Amino acid sequence: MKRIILLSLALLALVSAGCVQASREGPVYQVYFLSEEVDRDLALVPEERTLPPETEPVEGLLALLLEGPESEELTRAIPNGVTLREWTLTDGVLTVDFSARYAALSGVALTLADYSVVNTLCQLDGVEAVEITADGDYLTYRDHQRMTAEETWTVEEMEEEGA
Amino acid sequence: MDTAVTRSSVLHSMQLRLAMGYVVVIAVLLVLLNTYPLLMTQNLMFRSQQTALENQAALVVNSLTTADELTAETLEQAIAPLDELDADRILVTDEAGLILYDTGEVSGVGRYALNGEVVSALRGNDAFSSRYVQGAFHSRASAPVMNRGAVVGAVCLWQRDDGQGVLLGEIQHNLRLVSLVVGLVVLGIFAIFTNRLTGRVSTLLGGIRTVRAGEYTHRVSMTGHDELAQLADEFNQLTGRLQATEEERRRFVSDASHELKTPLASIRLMTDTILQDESIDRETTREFVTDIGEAADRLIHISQELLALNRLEEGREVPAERVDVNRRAEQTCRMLAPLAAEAGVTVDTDLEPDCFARCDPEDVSQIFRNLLENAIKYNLPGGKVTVTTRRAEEEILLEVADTGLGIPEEDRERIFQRFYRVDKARSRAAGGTGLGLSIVQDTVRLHGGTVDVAPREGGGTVFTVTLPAWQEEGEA
Repeated sequence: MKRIILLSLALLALVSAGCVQASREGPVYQVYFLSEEVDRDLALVPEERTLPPETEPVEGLLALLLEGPESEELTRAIPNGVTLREWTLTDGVLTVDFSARYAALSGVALTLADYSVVNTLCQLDGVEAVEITADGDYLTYRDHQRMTAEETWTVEEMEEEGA
Repeated sequence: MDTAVTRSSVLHSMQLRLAMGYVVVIAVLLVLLNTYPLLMTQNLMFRSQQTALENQAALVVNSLTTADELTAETLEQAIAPLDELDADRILVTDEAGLILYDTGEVSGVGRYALNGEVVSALRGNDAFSSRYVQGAFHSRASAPVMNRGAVVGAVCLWQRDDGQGVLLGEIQHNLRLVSLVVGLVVLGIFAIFTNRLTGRVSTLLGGIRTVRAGEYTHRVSMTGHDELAQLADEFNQLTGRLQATEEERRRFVSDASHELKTPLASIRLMTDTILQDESIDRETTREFVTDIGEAADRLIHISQELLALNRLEEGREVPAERVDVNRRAEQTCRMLAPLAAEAGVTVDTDLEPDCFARCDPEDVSQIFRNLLENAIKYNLPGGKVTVTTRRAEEEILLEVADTGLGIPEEDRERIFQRFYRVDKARSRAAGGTGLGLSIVQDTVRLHGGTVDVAPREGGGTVFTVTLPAWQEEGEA
């Protein structure tokens, strides 16, 4: 009798462990954040993050981008106070609409924020390009609106093309 | 078991410990030798690269200050004429990081250069980074392009320097070579040094083991004046004392056996005679029994003196009483007057008043008794014994002088040894045990005094004993 009880307890423990493991599993993505170290090859550095299984990937990744990095060496490329208004995916082009505060960005700060979003979201199946709007409007001073991950150098390209 | 002990002794040997200490020190020094100069040289080379690249970046930035707008054409016109540039790649971006101009083999124009240096320059700061990878320095310098106080772009220069990389590699190689040679030389010197040191320790250890095995004549031979040589010298002196003590012990056992054997043999002979000779008359038997009694007395006397010597050696507590030495001298003279009369010897005294010693009264009597007995027994018929006392500042002097035959010079040093006799036959005949002077010497030493023997002028011998004088409280 004791053996049966012990065996049952062991099976229960194994099943519970399996359940915990399964609940932890989810798709893994590289979420891009900003590094302030000058001698980094790239200013945008990927941080490996796992989305919960039932999470909608676009919303999940955007939430991680707005939430910020886990590493203390990295910071958000998107300014504080920016929120996600809506997003749409049409013919491989993902349009992300942030709150109006995003429009305050310009110059290299805008480029870094844009490509932290673009590099992160272009990992998703079916997403080939990303357009970013602020309060529904395109930022007209940006030289182009449809952005792809290939437009920025990767570490490998830096090493190959650099001296 | 022996193997285990040997392994254990090797593991705990001084040489191994020294070796480990030296190896650690050498390793630390060699690591320092191979890292610090390299880091310094690398740093200098970085600085050199930084200065060169930053100057070139500044040159490009200056050439762009006249351009109203940064375009591929204006940039080509401004940069191409600059002969001083020797950077491997020159890259110029607009204020958003978009590459406008690129001299790289695979042009990056139209893409975004979001490397750390460009981003830093676009934020208005100069930036530089350099890495030493696979035998070459890879350096990047960037500077902001300003127009009316605003950042309108960034200049970034790439430089790959194989020459300095090779130089650094050669330095590293040479340092490793030098380290290897230095390491081997130091290890060689260390091996010689420790072998010499531990060899001397082993010699000393071997000497100790030999002496421990009972070979007291063994001496350790060690040259030099260092601590080990001093230790060997001390060890040799200690062994010498051990040897002397051992010889004395053997002689004592031999002498004691001999002294005890003689009366025992007499007793055995006489009892055998009495028992085996049935015709022996009563008078002869009485004489033999009397002799047996005398032999037994002699055995008792020897035993008592041996016990007295043993007690002295055990280091009993020394009583510190005020002893009237003159009174003890007179008492002893009176006690031995019959013996002196029998031997036809006159005993005189010359006693200085107030001779008080710090001693045990019975011990003072014992000293006088033994010296006086000897002086009477070994005197000539009609001879004279003089007992003298004198008071010095811190000691009391006792002298017993006789007019006997005297003691030959070669025997004087040995007369205080146990069972040593100048004239064995006469000594035994006189009833001496050969222990009296040993007891005197041990007793005197116990009380912090001295005893000497010297020939007397006009013949005979003088024994001089000093004992510490009694000091009244308050006296110095």
